[in-house]
Amino acid sequence: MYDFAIIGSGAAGGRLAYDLTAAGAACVLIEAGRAFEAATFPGHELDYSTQMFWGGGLEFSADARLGFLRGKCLGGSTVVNQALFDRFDDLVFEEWRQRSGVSFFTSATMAPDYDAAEKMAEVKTIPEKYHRRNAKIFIRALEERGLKWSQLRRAERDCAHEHGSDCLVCLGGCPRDSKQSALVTTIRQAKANGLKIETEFEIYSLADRRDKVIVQGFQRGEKVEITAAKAVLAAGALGSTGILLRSTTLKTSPRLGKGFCCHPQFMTYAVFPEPVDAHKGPFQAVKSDDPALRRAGYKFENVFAPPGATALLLPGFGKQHQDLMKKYRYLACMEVCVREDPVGEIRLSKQGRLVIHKPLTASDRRKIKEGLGLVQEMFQAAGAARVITCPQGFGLHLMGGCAIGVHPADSVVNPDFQLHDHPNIYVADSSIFPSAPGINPCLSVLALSHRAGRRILSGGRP
Amino acid sequence: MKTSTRHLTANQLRGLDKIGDAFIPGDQDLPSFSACSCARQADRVLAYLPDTDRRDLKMLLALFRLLPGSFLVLLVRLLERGQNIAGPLGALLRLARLGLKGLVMSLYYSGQTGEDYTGPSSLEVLGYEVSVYLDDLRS
Repeated sequence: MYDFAIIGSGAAGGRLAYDLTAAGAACVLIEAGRAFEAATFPGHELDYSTQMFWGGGLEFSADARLGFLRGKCLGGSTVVNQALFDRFDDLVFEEWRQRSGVSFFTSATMAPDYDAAEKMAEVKTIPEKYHRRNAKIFIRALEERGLKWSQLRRAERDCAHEHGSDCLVCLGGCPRDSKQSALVTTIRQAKANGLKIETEFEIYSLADRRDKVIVQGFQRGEKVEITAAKAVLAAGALGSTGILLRSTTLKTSPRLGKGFCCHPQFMTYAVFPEPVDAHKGPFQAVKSDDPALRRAGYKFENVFAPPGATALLLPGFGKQHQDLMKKYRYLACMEVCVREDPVGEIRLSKQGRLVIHKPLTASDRRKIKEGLGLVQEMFQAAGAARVITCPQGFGLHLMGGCAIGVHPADSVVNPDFQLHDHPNIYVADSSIFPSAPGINPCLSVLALSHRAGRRILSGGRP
Repeated sequence: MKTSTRHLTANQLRGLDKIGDAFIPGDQDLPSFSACSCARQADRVLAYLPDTDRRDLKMLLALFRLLPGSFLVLLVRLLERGQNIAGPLGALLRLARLGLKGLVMSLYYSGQTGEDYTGPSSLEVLGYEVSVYLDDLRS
């Protein structure tokens, strides 16, 4: 029997695996996806989007207005994301403290956890000399509007920008192992500490026997059970919530599945008279960083997408769509990322599939409209010949569903990261977020899971 | 030339070619969806879809095989214009659009072509070429 079964191998699962094995605990890390490494990433957009994401590439909200991207591979979304490392600000922590009653939600209290998280990875910015035209257009557009911007803090080691690496490739895993994913940081070290890893193992449910937890699932089609003294859910908002919803023998809070949220993102492409070549060189170097936008509840991101995804996003079909795609090298891109209201809900269908209700509130829609209007104006002011707003939204950074809180009536997990009625089952990932922060959550997931690891090891003692 | 794949029958492949041509009819620069035979790569997508989604998609593709191309163009137009329809009908149209357009565009703009196609790939026409420097890691 293991001391801990850690379910999910992304930012949270990797960090917990590292912290718990470093303390000498016998741990198994369970991942639904396959184990890839730098030499075996599928490489091609057609293959990585199907093999490294849930749903064969995309999952959708019940009304199909939002598509969700969720990594499914050893290392989870940290392998396929942009490794952006931002701390949450006081605005987030103050709101979370009010919603949850959890006292450690302050910048000062969380600072040592952030420090520990940053210590495990190299964090850099992309030097201005490597900024490509997509970034320069983004900066100019913001500056002409009087909006502030800053360099993105990125968890990367050495991307060989001086040799012209095209980092768009790394959306399917970084072949240089420069991206500081869980795969090359926490999991690598936890393996050296004796971590056992099980991949292609989809957890169906958990059963709590008081002295042990039975983890039930299917590994490559075979029914398998793993027994551990304690289980730690780190499978993200959809993964952890879905497992708990299917664990019908557990006594769970009526709040389970509620409060789901994300950061809805809407992309706008602009055609410029000269080539932009947004697919070349470093990817996502800068961000908007303006207090007025923070107060308004949205921000702008400097992004782009490979051809298959761009073709899906661009509206229309036929010759008009082909003409636009032939302008691929002339396209710049900006997206509006919204800090939305946590009104979503994760449920199960009769067949046990996840059903994600994620309505956009009037406030969300106002922010999206305002942000997209500004992007349109900024691109036009920057000299775009044509601006195309994409109607399909994407929900990145999936959060909530197992909200943390002091009171069992309005939360699923207590401040020690345990299910209120099952002290042997912990949840320590983005599913515990009380609301959407409006800031990239990867670093904060790492920090919170480090805090959870410390609480677990201390047995809940202060 | 392969007339079926592990997941698609010859009829379903033909249905995929027909809906693909409705989205991408081709022009003087870009080949049509069917001309570049990219549908033969469909297993690379279908193998990873949830079983129920794959079953529904295969039924639709078999149906498309029987429908005239002009009808499929109308269907694609409806899917594109139905983005803002509220309620279950809107959800169904958006889901169908994402599923079909996603499959067609990801296959076509993968740049993968069939053995019988000799022209430039879609990615060559777009001028898309990306790589990550690895020489220092090999030495």
